[in-house]
Amino acid sequence: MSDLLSFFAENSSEVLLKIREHLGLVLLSIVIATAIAVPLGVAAAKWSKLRTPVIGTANVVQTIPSLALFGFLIPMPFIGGIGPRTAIIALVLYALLPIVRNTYAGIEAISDGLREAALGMGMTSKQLLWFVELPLALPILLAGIRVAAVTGVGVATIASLIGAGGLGDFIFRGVSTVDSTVILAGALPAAIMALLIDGGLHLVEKRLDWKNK
Amino acid sequence: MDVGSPALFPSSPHTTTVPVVSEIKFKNTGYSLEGKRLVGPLNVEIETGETVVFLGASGSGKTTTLRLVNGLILPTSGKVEVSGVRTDVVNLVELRRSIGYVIQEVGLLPHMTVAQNTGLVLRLLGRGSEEMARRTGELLQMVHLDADELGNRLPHQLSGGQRQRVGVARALAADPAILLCDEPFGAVDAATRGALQIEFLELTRELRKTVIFVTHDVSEATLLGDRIAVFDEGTIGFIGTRAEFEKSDKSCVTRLRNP
Repeated sequence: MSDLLSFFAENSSEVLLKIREHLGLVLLSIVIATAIAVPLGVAAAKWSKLRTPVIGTANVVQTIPSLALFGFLIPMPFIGGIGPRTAIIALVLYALLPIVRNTYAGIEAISDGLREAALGMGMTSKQLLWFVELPLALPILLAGIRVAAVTGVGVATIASLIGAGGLGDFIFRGVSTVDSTVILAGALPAAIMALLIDGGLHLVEKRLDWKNK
Repeated sequence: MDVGSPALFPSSPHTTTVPVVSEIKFKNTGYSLEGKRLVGPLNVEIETGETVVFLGASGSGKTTTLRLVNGLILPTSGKVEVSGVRTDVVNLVELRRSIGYVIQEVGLLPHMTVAQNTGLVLRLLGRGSEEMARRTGELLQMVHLDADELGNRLPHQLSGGQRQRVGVARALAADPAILLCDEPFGAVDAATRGALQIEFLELTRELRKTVIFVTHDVSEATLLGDRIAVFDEGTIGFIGTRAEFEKSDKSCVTRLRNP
């Protein structure tokens, strides 16, 4: 433990840099994934024909092991290669499923009676989405983002292998030099980051749920 | 004939305003789903300012018929005319905004406050926030709710009776000529129900709305209806005034009177 503390003290600027890189990978990929996944989830809920292809595809992507996904992406033209860009693409692909699925589930959970009441007072389908469906689906949607972000923190450690940086650099350096202090210097901040993101988003979820007011 | 001059709309020298008609006409109206006829043929006219109660057992077609009026469903045969316009050709969003709609429980949006729920139709119509606030206060007062005390609460923080009052207030927000009510007082206790019925009666008489009120409760029907339409297996088996309803010996009526 004291080894770890002195490692942090001696390498504080590098530790902070790796934490920043790691957080950057996760945040950027979650923002991009949300921008793609929410419209996809809405579309799947609105047009039942899209449901199986959209959720099925996201499901398939999710089942690919993360290391294999990085492997697939490296030889790809334009989107592949070595570096953070490839890592972000992989992280986005991973984050899609939980967000798509929860957006879909959140909208599906709204009762037909409520939808009919909203249409009956003269809402257009766009207003139904903005005034009723998205606000009511929001807590479930956020739960999907939370799952995606926490998973993303873990997957991002592996992204170190393809030169994306982040806390994985310490972990793999520690593994190759058989130095558990260096392993912990990467693993511990990553675990704390995952817990903080989980807790923080959970609070936001609770605050946005009308049932808790 | 001078065909060269452009056709202009004549500017009218008359000052008489067009009478506000809000009648509802069912002309040979039928509605089928997956080959099964749920409603019809219906032939009935509801006049401006009249309250007609649709009475009948569940599954008799009352609610389906009500949904034909604001175009939540369209007739599969015949037609429905609202204020002289057929529902199958009109802009449905506009039609629905011109009709107040009150339904049981689920009608209020759970994530919006009482004030937001009440003013929602005005918001859809693009009215300013000042007008909305003023009108919301008026409406809540009209249904005997304290806007200062309850305006910022969410629907689930209200009693059943208060929720139904908010539902009525919301339906009246844009001052629609027509009000459709689908068992609005079905989910409240008997005492509250009685009070709500009396208030509703006073309110609709004062505002002279054309009202269709769906219920399965005979005493509610005879209290509120200028006329009572008895639904029986998708068609109207009887329609007439309260007095005619009391006297009728049609089987669909006697069955309801003496269950």
